[in-house]
Order: sequence, then C-alpha cells, then structure tokens
Amino acid sequence: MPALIDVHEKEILRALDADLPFLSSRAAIELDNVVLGRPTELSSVKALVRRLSNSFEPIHETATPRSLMDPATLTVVSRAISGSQWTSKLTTVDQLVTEAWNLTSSMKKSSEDRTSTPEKQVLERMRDFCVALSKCAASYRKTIHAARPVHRYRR
Amino acid sequence: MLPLQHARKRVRSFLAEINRLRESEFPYEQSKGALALIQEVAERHLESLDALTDENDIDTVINECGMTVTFLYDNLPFLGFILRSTNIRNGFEVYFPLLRLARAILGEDTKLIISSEWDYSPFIYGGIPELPGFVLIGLPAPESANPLLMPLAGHELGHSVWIKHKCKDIFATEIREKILSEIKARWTEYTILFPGDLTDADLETDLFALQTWAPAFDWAINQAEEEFCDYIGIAIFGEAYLHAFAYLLAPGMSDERPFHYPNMRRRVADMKEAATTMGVATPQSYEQCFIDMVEPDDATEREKKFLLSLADTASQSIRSQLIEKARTLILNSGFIPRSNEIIKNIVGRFELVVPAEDTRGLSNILNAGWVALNDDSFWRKTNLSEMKDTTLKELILKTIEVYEIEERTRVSR
Repeated sequence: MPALIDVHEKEILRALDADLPFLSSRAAIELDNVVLGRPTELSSVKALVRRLSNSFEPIHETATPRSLMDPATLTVVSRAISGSQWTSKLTTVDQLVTEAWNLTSSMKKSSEDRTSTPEKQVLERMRDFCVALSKCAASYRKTIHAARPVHRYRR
Repeated sequence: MLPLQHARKRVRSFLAEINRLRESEFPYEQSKGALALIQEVAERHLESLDALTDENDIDTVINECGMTVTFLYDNLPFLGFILRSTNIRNGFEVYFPLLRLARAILGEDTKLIISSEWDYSPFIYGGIPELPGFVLIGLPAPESANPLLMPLAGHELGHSVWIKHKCKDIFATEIREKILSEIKARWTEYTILFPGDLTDADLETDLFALQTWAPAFDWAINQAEEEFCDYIGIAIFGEAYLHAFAYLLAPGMSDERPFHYPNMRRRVADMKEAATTMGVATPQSYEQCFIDMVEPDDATEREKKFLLSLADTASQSIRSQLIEKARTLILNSGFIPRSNEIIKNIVGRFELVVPAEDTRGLSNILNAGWVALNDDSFWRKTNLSEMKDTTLKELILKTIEVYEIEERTRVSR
C-alpha cells in the first residue's frame, strides 16, 4: 500500500497547502543566490515551477487550467503577482492565468538552462514573486482559518 | 543582522529541546520517529539560515526568518503532543488495535501517535509536511482512557482518508458550481452586499468578484470534509460512533457556530441519514438531543451570513455523494465490518464479567460496550450495578488486550 500522505505527490499549486509558504521562501533564497553569483541548487525553484506549471499551463484553447477550480489559489497568486510588481494591476482571471504562465515559463527556463542566466533584473523579479507568494499563502491560510481558534494543522 | 541572529538561535533552542525529549521513555517507536523527522526539518531550516549573509536581499532574508517563526509555531505543539503520548493517562491497550485499524483503512505505512490532550474536543494533526504518513490523534484528558469514546477516533481517521483519496479534488467542481448558481439565484442580495459594476458573468472571470465568494468555497469544502469524517466514523463503528458523539457533545454549545462545520442539528440529521444508508440504527430521539449553535448576526454580519449560507447550501448539496464515498471507501478497504452476532456474544461474556474472545476487531468490542452500558437491566441483579461504568470500561480494555494477543498470535502462526 502507498504511504498515507506523500507530500511530494502534490504537483498542483494549492493556496492552502501548508508547505507552500516555506517552499516559496526557499525558492526566493535560491534565486537570490543566483543573483549573487553563488553556486546554488535550484531544487525548491524546480518544485515550485512544477506546481505552477501543472496549475497554469494552457492545455488547449477550450480547456480550463486546473487552477481555475480553486478560487483561493487564484486569489493568492494574483496577490503575489501584484505585490511583486511583476506586472501592472490584474483585473481578470484570463490576465492572471496569462501572467502566471509567463512567470512560470521564465522560472522554468532559469531553473533548467543554467548556461544562459537571465538578466539580473528578471531574476530579482522572480525572487520577489516568490517572497510575495510565501507571504500571501501564509496570510491567506490564517484568514481562512481565523474562525477556528486552533492550530493550523488541526482538523 | 539581528532578526537573522535571533532566528538561528531560536531554531537551535528548538533542536536542543528535541534532543532532551528524545531521552524520554516511549511506549512505541513512532513517537521517537516523529521527533527524528521534525529534527531533520529543523536542521534544514538552520542550514538555510546559516547560509544567508548580509549580501542577500533583505526582504528575502526577513521572509525566511519569519518562516522559521511559522515553523516553530506549527511544530512546537507537536513536541508537546509527542511528550504527552508517553503519559500513563493514555489508554495504551487501545494503541495497537487502533493502529491496526488505521493501517487497514489508510495503508500499511500509516504511523499513529495517540495522546491524552488538554482540549475538550478530540482532534487530529494530519497532512503535516514534516511528518508524512503520520496521524496524531488527541483525546481529551478526562476521557483519554475511556474506551467507549474510541469510536470518535473514526472521525479523526476520516480526515486522513479525505486527504489520501484526494476527496477535495473530487468534490471541488460541484461545490464551486453550486455556489455560483446560488449567487446567481440571489443576485440582488449579492450586489447589495458586494457593490460594484459586476454582472453574473464576471463571477468566474473577474478577480474582485472571485475574491468575494472564495471564503464560501473554502468553508463549504471544510464542511464537506467534516461531514465525510462523521460518515467514516459511522461506517467503521456504527452505532458506537453515534453514542460516543452524543456522550461527548450533546446538546452542543451556545457559542457562535464554527464555519467549517454545518450547524449541529443539520450535522446530526445528516449523520442519521448516513446511518440509515449504512444499516446503522440511530438511537431513539437522537436529533432531539442536540441544539443549534448561534448563527452570525443578521444586522452586523450580513456578508458573513450570506457567504455562510452559500457554503451550507453547497456542502449540503453533495451530502448523499459524501455518504456513498465514505461507505464504499471503508467497504473496499478490507476493513471487516461489525457483526451483530459477535457483538451479542461479547455482551454475553460481559454479563458474566469476563473478557470476550474471538471478537474480530475494535468495532465489535466497542459496540458491545455501548449495548451493555445502555441496557438498564445489565448487572442489575448483581452487586456490580453501582460500579457499572468502571467495571465495564475495565472489561472492555481487557477484551481489547485479548483481541490484540489473538491478532499477534494469529499473525505469528
């Protein structure tokens, strides 16, 4: 029988996943180390990119990305994108999905092709997005569970 | 940088505490294993902090320092829980049978820790990234050695079943659609509460509109999960779950209702429906034993009330599917359902004040316990009637021990 909860199986970005704030923070550190020219494993960036890709990758024109099933995730990602100044104000879900996919593609390229490091400014914006995502995911979780005066893993 | 120094020191203190705890005597290995896993994650946090320097981006550093606060905030209660799992207040007789039951339902890799806790409501810590495969069940201290309340662990295991079988993903679309159709049906009310230049077509495409109903979606998912867990408890423990639930919670409290549960009377009515579907007899006048908790105020909490009503409607709309999902998951898990004949035999043995043999599982034993407890004529003609509760609990615990020995010898044969 498989393990009860294999956290590595979670390939979709979910705003309420308990490890998202930590994963995003680690990814930000890795990207910051790339900015500083330090040798860095990009394992957290890759893990985050996997989740973003599976959530925002356009499957085909008529299909709905999986992320659209979950309004909390859309809310958190839109706040993170706006908060990191990745783009100007987002107002529609279509804009959000497009920008999230652009951002994911940039991060994917950076993590897979280490020979052509993107401009420092682009790396910094990706790093800032990761910091913002870490904060937004942590704060959204708190808001939603505010009605429960208990520990966040308690169900 | 001061926050960085503080962050490193507090993680080191946490690690020192783990080292002290590892010196404790543990009744089973899994508590120690959990400590080792938490230690690994804390060490990774420390490595990450140690690698940061003044050259790193300040926002990135500050955020990581904040994440260590979050990590400690989340994980310190686990250390306390693990420590309390060693307390003799726990009903250790129940541990291995409950672990066997959890593994039958969740898989052989399941790791269980049970602890006597200082919270009145039983609870579970589950889906913990640091502790994959672990299920931590807390039972209220005054009742933690009371085997008659063990069926409530069925609800707590239900949360792990919900996660394992990705039930949120299964029901999310339907819940989302129901919330959207409800908003459209109550459009005037919605636009008064959330004024803006919106049309109903914007509900799924406009980010502002999306954020207005997102809490209703999350609450509905939470409510569905809690109801599902009740149904899992009923599927495993049958009547014993209903009795244990009423013992601990009836009639309910007069506080404002929590949003992640349906209100009490609806919850109980839904449990009754699940029981009927699963062939479980609901105690007479069961619903009348409970009262509703207070709804949000009409005048001052209109938005909250509106969103909560959306959540209630959406979670209620999938009630039958949740019952069926719980029923089939337990049926297909290989869990051996309770048997009325075996329960009757166990009650017969209890009547003679001797532990029962060949009980084939916790569910039979605990249901027999409740049958005996609820029977006013039980032991009436003996000198045991005044000590009925205490004697019965001891008999149940002894019977659970016999069951465990039978299982171990059966496996070794």
